[in-house]
Amino acid sequence: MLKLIHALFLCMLFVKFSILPVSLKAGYELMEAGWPSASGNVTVVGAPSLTRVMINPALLSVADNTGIQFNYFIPYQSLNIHAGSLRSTMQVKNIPLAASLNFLGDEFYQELQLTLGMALELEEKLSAGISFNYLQLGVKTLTTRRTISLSPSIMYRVSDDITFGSTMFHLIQVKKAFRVAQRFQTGLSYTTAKTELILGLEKEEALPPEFCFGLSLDLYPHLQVAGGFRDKSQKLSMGWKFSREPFDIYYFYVHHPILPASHGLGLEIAL
Amino acid sequence: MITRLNLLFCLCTLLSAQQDQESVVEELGEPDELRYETELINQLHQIPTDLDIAYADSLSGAQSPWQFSLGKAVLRQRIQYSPSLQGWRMMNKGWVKSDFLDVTFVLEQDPGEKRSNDHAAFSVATDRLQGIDQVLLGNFVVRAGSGMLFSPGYSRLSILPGSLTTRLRPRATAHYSTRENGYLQGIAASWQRDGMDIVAYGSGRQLLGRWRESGFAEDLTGIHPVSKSYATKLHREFGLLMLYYDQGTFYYVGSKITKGMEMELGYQWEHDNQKIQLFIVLGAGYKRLVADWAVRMELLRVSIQLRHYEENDRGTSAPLRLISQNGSGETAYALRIQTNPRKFLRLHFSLDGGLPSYINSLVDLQHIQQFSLMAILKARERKLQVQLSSKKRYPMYPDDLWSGSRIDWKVNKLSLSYSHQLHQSLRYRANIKVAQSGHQRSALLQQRLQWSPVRSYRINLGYSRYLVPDSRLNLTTYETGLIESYSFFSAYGDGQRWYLLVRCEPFRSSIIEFRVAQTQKFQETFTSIPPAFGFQLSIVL
Repeated sequence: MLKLIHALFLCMLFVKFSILPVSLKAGYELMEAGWPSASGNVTVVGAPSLTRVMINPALLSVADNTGIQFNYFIPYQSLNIHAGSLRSTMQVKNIPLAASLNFLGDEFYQELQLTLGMALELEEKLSAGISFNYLQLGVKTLTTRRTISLSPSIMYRVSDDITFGSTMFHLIQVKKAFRVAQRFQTGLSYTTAKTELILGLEKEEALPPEFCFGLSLDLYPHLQVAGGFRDKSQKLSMGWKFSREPFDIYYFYVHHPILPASHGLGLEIAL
Repeated sequence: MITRLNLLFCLCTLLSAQQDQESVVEELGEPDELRYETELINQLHQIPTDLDIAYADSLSGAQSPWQFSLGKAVLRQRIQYSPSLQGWRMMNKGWVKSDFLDVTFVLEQDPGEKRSNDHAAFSVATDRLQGIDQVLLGNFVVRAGSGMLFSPGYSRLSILPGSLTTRLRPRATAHYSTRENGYLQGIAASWQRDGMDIVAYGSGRQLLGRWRESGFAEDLTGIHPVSKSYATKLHREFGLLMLYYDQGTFYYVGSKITKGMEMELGYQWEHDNQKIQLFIVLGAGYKRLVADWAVRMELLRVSIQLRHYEENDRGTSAPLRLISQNGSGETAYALRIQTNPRKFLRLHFSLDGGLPSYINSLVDLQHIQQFSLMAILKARERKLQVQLSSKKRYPMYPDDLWSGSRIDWKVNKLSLSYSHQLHQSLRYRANIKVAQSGHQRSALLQQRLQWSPVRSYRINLGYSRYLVPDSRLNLTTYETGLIESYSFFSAYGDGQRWYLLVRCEPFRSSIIEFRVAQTQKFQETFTSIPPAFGFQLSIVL
């Protein structure tokens, strides 16, 4: 009963915040696409997939195993932009680590991001994470710009089925050859045996916050479907994931009210 | 007018409210939010009639973050929507105390600001270094002596006798606050040896502000929207504070070097139940002299303060404010009396007065006097507080009378507060506040209710109805806020306001709070200001 009240309380919050006046903001999440893109792209909390641990490395402390992941993403098809990533998690001297290489661009414009994240378990329920990011921005015929940023994050297991996560992406920027937009993300996930419900809030720079909602369901032992919604950009997303040890293959689709639709494909291998 | 007031009271009795011990602590929970208090006093020009804080210790004794600890770590995340600023405020703060290190951090982004860390304060402290009692690295504040030279504005006078005297002992504490000015950045070290306390620090902090004709002026609002541009200036400061004490006698010397050198000398004599404090501050362009005497008996507490503030530049006149540490160019006195004639009765009396230290024109020839009398009656489940205060500014000039521009020359206020534990889980509180000046009157009625249906859930509901025709007669009232936040409402106009706070502890170590508040105006047409939202998640380990 208490859990139901709690869930209703959170839903009321979400509905209340969702109807506030909002405006459109940039689609920074293009490079970070992965399976969470199917469920509203809430990456700060939820099942510790390889995509999520890059945003919130504190989730590494609850990740079951190590793995490797490939992603290919066509954001807003017909704009001729391609994005891809190679991500991996590993254990070095009992310290869980995550590394990724992300790419986005076309023949004139390229963005590259290298990320190294690690987690530290502070308490039984509380973990802190930190990620070091190297970012490179190149435009044909112009000088390539580089910068390094640091992003702290935390993960807190409120109860067995509720998890809280928060991150300040690019909080500290060491070499400001170009400035990367700071991003604050926070969220709660509620997990049952076959369902995961995620509520997230993201705020980039001075833009108003965006509330995100994601739901994933295990329909069959090998098949998971997911859907999500982002209130400000009015993006709807959905996708499916087929799992067969040690492989996971997934596809996701993101609908934007004005821009063309986006498609993504990924492969994850547990090591 | 009488009909309207009657209507106002009838309407208000339909709703209810309350206050509890815990929220008294909350009101003092964030020491640095006192800036709002100071602003409030500047507006009111009167001792605030906030009955809610009467039972609390002096605000000058605001607790350090460590004293709020329930465990070894606290993390708070706050998200608020401000209708007045039309934007969102995000705050992340926390402290972790371990055997070796104490770590604090505060990150805040006000509405319209670009960066998530527009205000960032971080500190690391340890007491494990050989030969030094404490080393603090990062952002910190130094408090010592009278508070006039170090961290001014962190305390103020209240109706309590203890607020006139100060703690001499120098200490450097982490800046664990959203206040964006008045703190230092660098390193501070403390030593305590036989009868001697020493604090030394060095700081270099980039101030954000604007260049004006008179020089660089730091921005004190703390809100830096993208649309505005600011200049920066490096502020360097070095300080050395020493306190020597021997059997109730204290000698204090505090000095800091910025552009020039500023110094404070202090003396305290303490014997049995009496305390005498003397302070001399020789600052850059000003001098301050303060003398305090306090006596504490079983049934009676009395404090007296005399102060004389002098500026080297007497070309401009500063307004007379009577707010102690932040005042300038004034000679003032303060008296506080507290007595407990019966177990169920407590009486407070305060008297403040002052006049300018120098006179440039006839306008400066003014004298302010204000007094406040408060009675607190406590029964088993009930509490009644009555406060009467009056402020006089004189002499009046003929022009003031003809133009009617000085309605604040005499302001009287009466406040009544009644709280009742109706049921084990239900508490009610009603506040009635009335102000009068000449033919003008203002009134406010607030009712608060606290209901705890189950142990882990608490609901606070508040409703205020007010009629304040002139801003100089504005009335303020406390509202239950999120933990470690300060919620005061300053009423103006003809309107009503409600708020709802839901606090739940669904799981061990987690507190979730949601607050919504809305103001509605009845002037000409009924208008509703968009509601203000606040959400806070606290993790207490």
